Amino acid sequence: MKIPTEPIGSIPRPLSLLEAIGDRDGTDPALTPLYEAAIRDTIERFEATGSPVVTDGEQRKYHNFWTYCVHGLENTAPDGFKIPFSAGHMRRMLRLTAGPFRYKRTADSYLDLALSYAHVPVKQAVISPSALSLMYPPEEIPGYTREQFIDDLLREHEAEVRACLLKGAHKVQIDFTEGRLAIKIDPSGNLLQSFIDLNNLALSRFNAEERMRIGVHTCPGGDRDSTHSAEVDYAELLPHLFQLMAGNFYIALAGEKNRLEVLKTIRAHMKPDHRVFVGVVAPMDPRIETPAEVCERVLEAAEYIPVAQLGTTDDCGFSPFSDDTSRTRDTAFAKIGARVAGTVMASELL
Amino acid sequence: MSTKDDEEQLLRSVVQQNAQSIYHARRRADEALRKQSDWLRVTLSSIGDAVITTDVEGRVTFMNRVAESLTGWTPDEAMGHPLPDIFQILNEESRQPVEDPALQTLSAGATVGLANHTILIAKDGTERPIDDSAAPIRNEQGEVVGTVLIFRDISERKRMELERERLLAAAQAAQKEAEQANRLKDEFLATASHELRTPLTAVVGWSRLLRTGKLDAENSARALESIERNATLQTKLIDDLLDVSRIITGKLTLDRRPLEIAHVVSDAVNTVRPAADAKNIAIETSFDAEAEPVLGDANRLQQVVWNLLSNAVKFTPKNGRIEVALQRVNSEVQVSVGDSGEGISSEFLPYVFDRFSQGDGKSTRSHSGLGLGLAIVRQLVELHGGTVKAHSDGPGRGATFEMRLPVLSINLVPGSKSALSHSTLAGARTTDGLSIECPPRLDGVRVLVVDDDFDTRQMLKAVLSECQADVITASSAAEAIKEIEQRKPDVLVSDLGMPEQDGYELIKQVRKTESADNAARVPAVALTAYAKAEDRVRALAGGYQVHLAKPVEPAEFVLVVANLAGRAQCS
Repeated sequence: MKIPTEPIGSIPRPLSLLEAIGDRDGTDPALTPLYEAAIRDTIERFEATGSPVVTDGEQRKYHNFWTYCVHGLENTAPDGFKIPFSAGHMRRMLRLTAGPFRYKRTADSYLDLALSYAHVPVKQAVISPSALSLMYPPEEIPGYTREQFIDDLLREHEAEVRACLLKGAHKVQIDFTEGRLAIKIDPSGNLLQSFIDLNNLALSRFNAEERMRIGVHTCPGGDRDSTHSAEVDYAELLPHLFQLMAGNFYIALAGEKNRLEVLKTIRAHMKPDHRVFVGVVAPMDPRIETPAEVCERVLEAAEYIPVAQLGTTDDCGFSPFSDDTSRTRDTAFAKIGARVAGTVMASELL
Repeated sequence: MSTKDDEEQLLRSVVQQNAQSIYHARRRADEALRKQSDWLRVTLSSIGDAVITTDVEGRVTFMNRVAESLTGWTPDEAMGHPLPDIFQILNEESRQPVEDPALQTLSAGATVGLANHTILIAKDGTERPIDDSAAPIRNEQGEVVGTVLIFRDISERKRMELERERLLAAAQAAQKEAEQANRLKDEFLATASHELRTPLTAVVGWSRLLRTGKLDAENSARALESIERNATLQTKLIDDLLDVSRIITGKLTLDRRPLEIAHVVSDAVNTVRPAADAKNIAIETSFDAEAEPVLGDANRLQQVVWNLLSNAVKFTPKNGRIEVALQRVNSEVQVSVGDSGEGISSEFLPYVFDRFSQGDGKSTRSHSGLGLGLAIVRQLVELHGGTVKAHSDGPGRGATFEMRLPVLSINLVPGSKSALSHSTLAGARTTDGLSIECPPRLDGVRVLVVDDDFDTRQMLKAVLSECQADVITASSAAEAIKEIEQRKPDVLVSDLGMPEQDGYELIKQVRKTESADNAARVPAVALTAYAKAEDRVRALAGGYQVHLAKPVEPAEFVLVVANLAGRAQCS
């Protein structure tokens, strides 16, 4: 049985592009040819791996997967929350300073170019409402309540996802990397549940058919060979995660210490209409997996997940933060090639 | 916020606050969903069609009021029951149960239009024709989680369809009947034309021969006899037509009095006996002495019996036999006329009393007549509250007509039978033209006859002169006025339809002058071809004392004039 395989999204930017961006504003029109060249090259290399679904490698998310849609907003300040990573560095959120909350740009704007280059379906990743909800500061913004912010956030997110669907995205993947982080911050699970509730409020705005084209990605937040929440047990996250009203789940698995336990948890909580894409290559691991290794992981997963509901993916984006150069493009595509080939091998065996 | 722990604490604080807002947002969304659900429930409850929903196992989860009304089950009773318990349906034609629509839908996963001609059996056994369809209910994930069944009572629609079919059939039948009536009318017109012309042929022919003056005495007498007989026949035909017209328009009035029906029958038998004798047909009578009187119009009942007897004579061959019986049957008096004649086919028998209907409608038919006689018979009998039936064992096997009339319900004073009206028509009707046995004497009576038709004036003058009346004639109203002023007639006899000034204007002017002069009113007779009831009423209202329809029997005419002149018939 053919097992679908999809990338998560980000691919390391060409060094030439990173150098060109330098300290400039990433929206500088002078960068446009470089972005376009990077996207074209990304898609060509994706397709060269035989990947049945590709992305633009998030080449135009010139900061990161988290803030691409709000970067440059005048009603924000750079002194938002800091997300501590295990390597000791921190990533910082923007802080909303005034209402109303509106996206500066939406991910569907990236789709146009990618679709023009691609010969296979293109997938688009967007940031989750729960991640952006952290932009509202602890203290109330005068004249703009937190509830108004939540309403605006949901509306903006819905508009972004709907636009991606309308433009023909094969899948719209909601990056929900803060799930495990929420458990890490609040082991009671209440914070995670509030994230789930918020994201479900957004998902409930789509019908069943649309939700079959929407997925949720979770990982421990890879950046510079480290994570922000890998120490949190999946068993605490997954029962909540599968409450999300999405049709597809992209779950980092290759880098997990105890994959079988995770698979058992998945089996226990996934629903009949879910498609679970398990990570079979680990971007944080500098070693390039072999197709046989990938195949073995797929076969392993197939023991716990019905084949008809199984898919493969990368554990995480290869460069969620644009300035992360810990992996090269070559390594990324080599790993992707292994994922694709290994999945094909497993498909023939299953 | 300089340390990692501080960051996490702050983050925790923000997330907790956001959680509160998310909770409220979810509450609002839930509330909106609940309102939507309530709205949907109210909508389903309010729509005119019946709605039942089931879960994925086909058990009832909701039913609206219309469904409750049609199935006879309350929602409380129905909840959780398998749909077939509540929604029992049969195929209208086969009477076989129809497959559970919920299961059909669940297995098909798609909308199912149920079979036509479905009958829903309510809890109390009431059956209704319904239209129905079922569709799957899907959840947000697109999974089939139940079915929704929508149906409606189509009894009224069915009734309308049947009514339409009935009306269409009735219209077709009416059209067929109208076509039949039209055909009968055409046949009748052809017959009437023939029947009315036939006697005229003899009248015109003999009249012309008489005018030649070449006929000898014997042939002249035969000519006159023929003219008279044919004129009488045509009068009868016209009377029949007028009778039918009166009956149709409801203007035929009966002069109903207690009478001995035996006398009516005897008179009728006596009337037709000469005709029967001519064909050597024996008429046997059998009268029940216990037959009670009836309430009826002697003239009209005699017309009925005469018609039946005439028909019997007409259709019975020479040497045949006619039986006339009168007997009491329960509370009715039955007069039956049976003959050994041609009989009536079973096909024609149901229509034998219809107007314009004749057993033989062909131009070559062997019997004359308009086909109105029996129609008049039935109408007259029914006007008397009676019935008339015809029986025949078929062609060549004779026919019997039975008339039944209700017995008079009041008791007459014993010995007062003489008070009953004798059926015999008053004198003039049965007299024979000018050969009145006892003509009134009109000597000294001055009669003014006004008619624009010369022949009529001459005939009337001759009739009155026979009785020694002093007859003045006028051909117009104007001339009549002068004669009245100058000659002061004792009786005025005037036609109504005259050119320039008609009989109505004449009498109006006469009465006006009399009033102005304070003079005595001259008795006036309207003698006219306008023989309808309204003509009679108009004439009498206009000032005439008597209305006589043309052609008039001379004997009747002179009796009327004598009566108006105060001259009695001889004793």
